[in-house]
Amino acid sequence: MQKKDFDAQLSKNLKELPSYAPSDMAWDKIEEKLDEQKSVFPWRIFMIAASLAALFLVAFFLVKQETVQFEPQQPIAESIPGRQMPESDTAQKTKPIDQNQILSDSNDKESVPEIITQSSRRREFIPEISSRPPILIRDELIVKGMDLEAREKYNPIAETKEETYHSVAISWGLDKIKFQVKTNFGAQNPLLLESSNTEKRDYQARIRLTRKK
Amino acid sequence: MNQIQLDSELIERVISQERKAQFQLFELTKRMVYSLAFRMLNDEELAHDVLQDTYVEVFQQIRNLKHPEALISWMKTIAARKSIKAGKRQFEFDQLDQHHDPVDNQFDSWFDGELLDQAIRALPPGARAVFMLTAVEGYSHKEAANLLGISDSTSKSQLNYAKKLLKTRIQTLLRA
Repeated sequence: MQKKDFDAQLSKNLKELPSYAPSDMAWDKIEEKLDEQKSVFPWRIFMIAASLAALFLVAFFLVKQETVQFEPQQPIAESIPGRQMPESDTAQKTKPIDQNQILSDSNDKESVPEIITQSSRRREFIPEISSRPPILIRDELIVKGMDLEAREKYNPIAETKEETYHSVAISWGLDKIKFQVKTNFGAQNPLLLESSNTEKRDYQARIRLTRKK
Repeated sequence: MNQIQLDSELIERVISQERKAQFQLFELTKRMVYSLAFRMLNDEELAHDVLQDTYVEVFQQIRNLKHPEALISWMKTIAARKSIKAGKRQFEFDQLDQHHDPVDNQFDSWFDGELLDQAIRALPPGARAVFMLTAVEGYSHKEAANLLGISDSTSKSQLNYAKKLLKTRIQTLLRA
């Protein structure tokens, strides 16, 4: 009677279930899939590695290609020995050329330009000689976004009773013609100047005006 | 099913991705894997797909196996998971009364493995899957429920249901 117990028969026959065999082509298909996995170029890993390498390269070149930073407190013109200090607007007119000459004279990696304060950084950098013409502040620059006459900051009609004398400090970056014009006369807030040529506004200047006593 | 004994040297060669060793492992275990997949799915084409996917994963992941002596049970688990994934749509679990009557053990006939196999293949997909995992492969109800995405109680009731159906089916086959 025990032998006819369903659970007992079930347990016994479960161990004796027939097994099924796959087709003869089964291994060939498995091999194909394994070979496919091998021959597939690990694009994902490659892309990640390439992205990281590109990031490092960009970071490296960004750090290496430093823009020249001038200390705004130092009037650049005054620091150039043996050169005449222009007293009119032609100072701004000629200054870029002078600066270019300075830069061309200092083509040698080892030499340190006189006007540069951070000389150790300058040694590594060979500036390109700019071929652009000098910028005429009076004719080529306009005040950006400000109507001086409307804001009563400037009255072209008003005459000054006295002549005033000013010192001018000019500094600019060498990768872009972006320069600051600091004078000892004028208002508290700097005026932002930009090129009047709307097609190529590639330089700007700021004028901070403080009256010299 | 007879227990398969694998040589540790063979396992090491398989881990080192030796193709010959991989083929040897395949030859030793293909019936086990295919039978499990075929009984779970009751479909030759699906079972072959599961077989291929199982071995590809086994050969790719074997180096991560912490206990090489558990290779066979690990392969069965992979095959079971892949079978469940392949037959997900067909595995529906009939709503059963939770307070089930125990299976009457009285059985007035003898039956063998062949008859039992026929009866298993005639089970509804959900009940068959539970029966295969718990009664044939030896998973606990908790493990089977986890694999199938059902509750423990559903697994238990489905097994009971499967046994009742098997008994009825075997009796029918014997009378035929």
